[in-house]
Amino acid sequence: MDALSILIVDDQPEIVEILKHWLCRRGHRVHGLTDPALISDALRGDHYDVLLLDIVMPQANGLSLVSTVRSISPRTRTIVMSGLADEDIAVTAIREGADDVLSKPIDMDRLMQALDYIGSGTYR
Amino acid sequence: MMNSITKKFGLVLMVFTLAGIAALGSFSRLYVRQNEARQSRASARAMMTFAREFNAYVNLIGTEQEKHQASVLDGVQSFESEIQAMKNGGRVGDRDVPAETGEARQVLLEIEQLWPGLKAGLQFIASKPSGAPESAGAILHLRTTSPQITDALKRIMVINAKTREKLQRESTAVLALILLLDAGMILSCLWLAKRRIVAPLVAMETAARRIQAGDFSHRISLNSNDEIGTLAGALNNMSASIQTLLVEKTESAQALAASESRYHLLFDSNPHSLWVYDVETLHFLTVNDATVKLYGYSREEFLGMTIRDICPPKDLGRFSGYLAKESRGFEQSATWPQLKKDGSIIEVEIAPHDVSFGGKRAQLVLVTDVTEKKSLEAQLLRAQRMESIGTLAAGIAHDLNNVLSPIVMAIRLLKEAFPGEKEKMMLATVERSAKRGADLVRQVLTFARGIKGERVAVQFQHVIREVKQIADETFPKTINITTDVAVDLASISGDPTQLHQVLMNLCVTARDAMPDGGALRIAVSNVLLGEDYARTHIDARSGAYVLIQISDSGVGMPANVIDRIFEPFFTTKEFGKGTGLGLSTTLAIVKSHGGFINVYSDYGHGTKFNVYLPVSSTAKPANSQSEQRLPRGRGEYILLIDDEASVRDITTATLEAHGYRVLPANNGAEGIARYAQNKDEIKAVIVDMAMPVMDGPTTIASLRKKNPELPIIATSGLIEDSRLEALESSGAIKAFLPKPCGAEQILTTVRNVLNTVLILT
Repeated sequence: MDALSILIVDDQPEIVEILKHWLCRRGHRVHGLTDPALISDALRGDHYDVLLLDIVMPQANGLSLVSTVRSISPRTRTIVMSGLADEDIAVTAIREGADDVLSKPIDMDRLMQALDYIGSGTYR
Repeated sequence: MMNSITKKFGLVLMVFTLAGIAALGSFSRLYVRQNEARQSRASARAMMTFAREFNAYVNLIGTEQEKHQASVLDGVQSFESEIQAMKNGGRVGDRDVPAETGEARQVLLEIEQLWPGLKAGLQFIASKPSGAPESAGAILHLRTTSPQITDALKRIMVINAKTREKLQRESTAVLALILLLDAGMILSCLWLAKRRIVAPLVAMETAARRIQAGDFSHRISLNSNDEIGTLAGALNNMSASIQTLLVEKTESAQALAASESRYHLLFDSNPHSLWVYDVETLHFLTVNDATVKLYGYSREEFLGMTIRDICPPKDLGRFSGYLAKESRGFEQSATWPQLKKDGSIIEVEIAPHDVSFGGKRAQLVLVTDVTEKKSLEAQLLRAQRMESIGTLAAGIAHDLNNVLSPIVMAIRLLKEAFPGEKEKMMLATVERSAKRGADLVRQVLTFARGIKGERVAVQFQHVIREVKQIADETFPKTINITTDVAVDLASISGDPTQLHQVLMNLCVTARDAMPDGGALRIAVSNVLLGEDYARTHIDARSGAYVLIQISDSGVGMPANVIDRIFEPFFTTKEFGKGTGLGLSTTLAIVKSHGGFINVYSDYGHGTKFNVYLPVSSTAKPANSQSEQRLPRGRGEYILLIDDEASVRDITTATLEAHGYRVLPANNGAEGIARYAQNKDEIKAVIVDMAMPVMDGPTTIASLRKKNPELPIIATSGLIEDSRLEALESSGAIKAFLPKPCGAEQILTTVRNVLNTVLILT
């Protein structure tokens, strides 16, 4: 599996820290944010293969961010994380351009699987 | 009174009385005269006797003469007295002799002239001794004079007799006149009485009889102004007054009856239950129709009952106390439970009002059935509570999820960092707990937000079979499980896995209610819910449903538990034995299918869960994806015969939107006409079974006569229509569409029918 550059955005710093730790240990280059307002700057400043995005955040509606991300960085794959086990959110996220949806708490095996697909170019 | 009957009678009587008096007067005068004549005759006779005595005396000789001498002298005296009396009137002896008049008087004067000579002769003879020669001249004289006197006396007597005869005749005439007058008087009175009294009395009697018979319109026609006339007038007036009174009485009775019937109407047809009862005996005095309907007792039964019979025994004391309070207006009311004839309890609002009823102290009681209202209020409260609990639970769940997420995720990292067996075991424990927490949170979130799932046609027979199999294998053998599934069960659109979970959850609940075993029954049937049902159950809509009944013979639940069983985390089980999410998840699934659940429980005797799932009309509207899958037409003409405009419009719109062309018709007759005009174009017909003018079966028969091969689809709101079976078995119709049916059902059925025809031809 190729090493990927990954941007994690979640308002819960604990989640960001755990994911960062986990993904770094698997050889990925990881950057974490707790403020979604900073996503645009981050994407413009650097290239990321994957965006791990929590969509129910107090600061911004995650779903609108998905299309923003696509317009700024079309090559970035987006994996949406949702705390609300809601099918509608998943469907909408996919329509907005997300590549996968994971429900919280994140099943680490599912996350690895999703990153494997992206790394092997399955989503392209 | 000018012409009074008394006057008439008086007049008649007076006339006849005066005439009578006059007649009697003359009669009495005649009597006096007759009497006088009798006296005169007596005097004349006496004189005649004397005259004969004198004659005899003169002719006596010797001693004979001397013997009579004294009496002759007495006779002379008497004779002379008689003459004087007859001439001037006077008393002789015991007789009153009237003075003679007229002819008799002339004769008497002749006698008077003759008398002195006779007297003197007699006195001379008497003064001489008998046979004395000097008497011879006197005797001779006497012998000539005496017959003259006798003769005069005879004449007087003749005159007297004539007079008496005349008087006799006059008396007779006067007597006859009197008799005539009497007869006249009697006849007059009779005539007057008949004319003036009897005839009017007869008329009045007739009138009286008619009045007695109730005919007050009769009037006596009498033109007289007398007493009888007045009496008749009074009778007529009385009759008229009675008639007027009767009319007034009838009118007022009619007005009263009208007013009474109005109030009866107000009372009897009042939609509220109204009853009147005796305050002393508590007996019902009257009840209206609504009361009969509300309580289930007949009017006759009510009249033999007291208010104790409609009050649950435990509330009786307080209830009668409430009614017995001081008078109130209808605006004050209180809610009470009431006992119906069938033993069920209803909630009513009672407003009593003091009245007097037939002289008895009574109360008019206005009763409003609020059972439905209270039930709806309770349902609404429950729904609101569920919603707020859902919102609360969703909020907490989301926060909990955020709390749990780092724990669950970090465990994987920690597992890698601590490869030791002991640490691995501890981490596995932590992970299990955290995941259980996360699962719980997910369940709460699905409950709160509703559950999504696939929607496919579900045949409940299969679900029931699976659930029964699991229950048979896992439930205690002391529980006897039976199933009863309708043969022609309608299929519903839903998620088989979720519906399986619903049944399983309810079966487990039933099992847990029967720790000592019992009977568990699962029954599935088709039901049609009406508007009335929908109005009283906030979750229900009218239409066709599949009803799943799960009943147990277990411990049952008290009302306060039933009220809360669908709340998340509500459980009666011991802490740790149940999550309290089973029934709330069940409800969430049923709701997501457009259905609802009713619970009936008799504490100590068992519980029944009724799950209603809509057949098709209330199914989730098809999304764009499923719509694309719907079979489309290719411009075929469909003849649609239905009398309900709304159904016709919707069906037409559905068919036209999916590639068909539609010829609508209002009724069977119109449908036949349209078919005749477009025989070649029409490929299929949809016919409603119940229509005016020409009903479904007749229309179908008529269409088949024109074209036996024409595909006909029958529709009906009645799922079990016996006529349909006959039509289907005879092959007259190709398919049946139950009403109400969704677009998918219509389109699929039409397509299938047309395809069958294509394959056949």
